[in-house]
Amino acid sequence: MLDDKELQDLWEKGKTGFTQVPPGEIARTLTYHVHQQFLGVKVLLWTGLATLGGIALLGGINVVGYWNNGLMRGVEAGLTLMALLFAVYGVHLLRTIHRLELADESLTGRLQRLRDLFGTKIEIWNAMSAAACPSLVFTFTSFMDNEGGVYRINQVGLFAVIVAALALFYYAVNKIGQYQVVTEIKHLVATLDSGSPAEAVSFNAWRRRRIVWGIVIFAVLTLLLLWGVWRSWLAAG
Amino acid sequence: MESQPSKKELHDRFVGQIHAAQGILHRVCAVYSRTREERQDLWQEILLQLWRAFPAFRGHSSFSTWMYRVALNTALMHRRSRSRAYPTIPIEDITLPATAGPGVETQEGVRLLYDSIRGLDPLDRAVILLRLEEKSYGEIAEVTGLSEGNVSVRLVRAKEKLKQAMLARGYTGGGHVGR
Repeated sequence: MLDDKELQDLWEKGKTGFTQVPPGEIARTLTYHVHQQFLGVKVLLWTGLATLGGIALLGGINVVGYWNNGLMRGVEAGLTLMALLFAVYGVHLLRTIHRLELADESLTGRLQRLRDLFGTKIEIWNAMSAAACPSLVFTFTSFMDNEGGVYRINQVGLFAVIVAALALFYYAVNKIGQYQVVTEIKHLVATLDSGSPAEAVSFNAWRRRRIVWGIVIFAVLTLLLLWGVWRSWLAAG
Repeated sequence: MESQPSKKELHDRFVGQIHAAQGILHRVCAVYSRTREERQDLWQEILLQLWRAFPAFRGHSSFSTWMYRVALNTALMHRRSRSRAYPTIPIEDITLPATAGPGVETQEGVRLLYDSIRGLDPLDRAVILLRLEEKSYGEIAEVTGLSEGNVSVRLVRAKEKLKQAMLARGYTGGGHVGR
C-alpha cells in the first residue's frame, strides 16, 4: 500500500531533477515585459476612462455651445458631471486591481477579494460603461449638430432604440472581455468552498452554456445595432 | 534613519535570493503546468510577479513563505486558455541525473507523482505541494488562508485522492510503475 513516506521519498528524489537557472538568466528574465494578470479588465477600464474623458470634454464644450438652451445645457452639464464621477470610480478600480496584484496575501484571502471585486465593483463599472457609450455618441452628435444652440431629435423612438442597443452592446463587450478571468475565479472559489469534483464538472457544463448564450446575445445585439445604424442612414439619406 | 536601498541593490538582492530558493519555483511550475512551454511561461510570470511585489516585502513572514504565496497566487490565476484542452502529458524534462543513484523506475515514479498531483484541483495541489515541502499545518494555513483544521481535513482528502490516482495509473510501490 502506498504510504505518506513513499510519497515524500518520491518528492525528494524529484527535487534533484530540475536544472538550476543561473543568476544571469534570472536577471535577464526580469527585463521582459511584465505580464498583466488582469490585462483584459484593465484594457476595458482604460477604454471606459477614455470614453468618459471624451464625454467630459465634449459635454463641457456643449455646455457653452448650448448656453442659451436651458434643457440642453442641463443635459450636457449632467452628462459631464456623470462622466467625471464615473471616472473617479474607474481610477479607484484601477488602483484596487493594482494593489490586489501586488498584495502579499493568502490564496483564499485573495480569491475572496477577487470574488468581491468581480461580483460587485466591476459589475457597477459595467453598468457605468454601458451608460457612457451612448452618452459619448450623444455628446458627439450634439456637438456636431449644434445649430445655433438648437438640437433636434427627429425620430425619438428610433433614437431610444439605438441608445438602448448601444448600451447593451457595450455591456456585452465588457462582459465578454471579463469572461475568462471571472470564470477562473468562480471555478477556484467553487473548489475552495467544496473541493468536490462534481461541482467542477457542473461548473464546466455551466461554462459551456454561458459561452453559447454569450455568443447568441452578442450576435443579436450586433444585428440590432447594425439595423439601427442602417435605419438612421436611410432616414438621413 | 534607515536609507532606502537603491534599485540596483534591490535587484541584486532579489536575484541572489531567488537563485538560492529557485527550487520552490521549479516545483510550483511543475505542479501547475503540463508542458515544457507552459512551464517556462509560468516560471517567467511568477518571477516577474515576485519582482513586482518584492519592494513591498517587509519580512513579516519568511522569504520562502512569501515566495510560496506569490508563486501559488500567480499559478492559480495563470492564464490557462491554452492549457485547458491539453491532454495529461508527463513532464519530459524532469530527469534525475545519472549520478543521483535511483534507476529508471524511480524516474517514472516521480513523473507519475507529478502527473497525479496535476490531476487534483488547484487548491488541493497547493496544500499537497506545501505539505510535501515539509511545511507545518500552521505554515500551510498562513500561505493558503485556510484554518489549520481545514488544512488538516483538506490534506487528508487530497492525499487520499493522490494515492488513488497514482495506483490507478499503475504505480505498484517502491518507485515501480506496472505495465
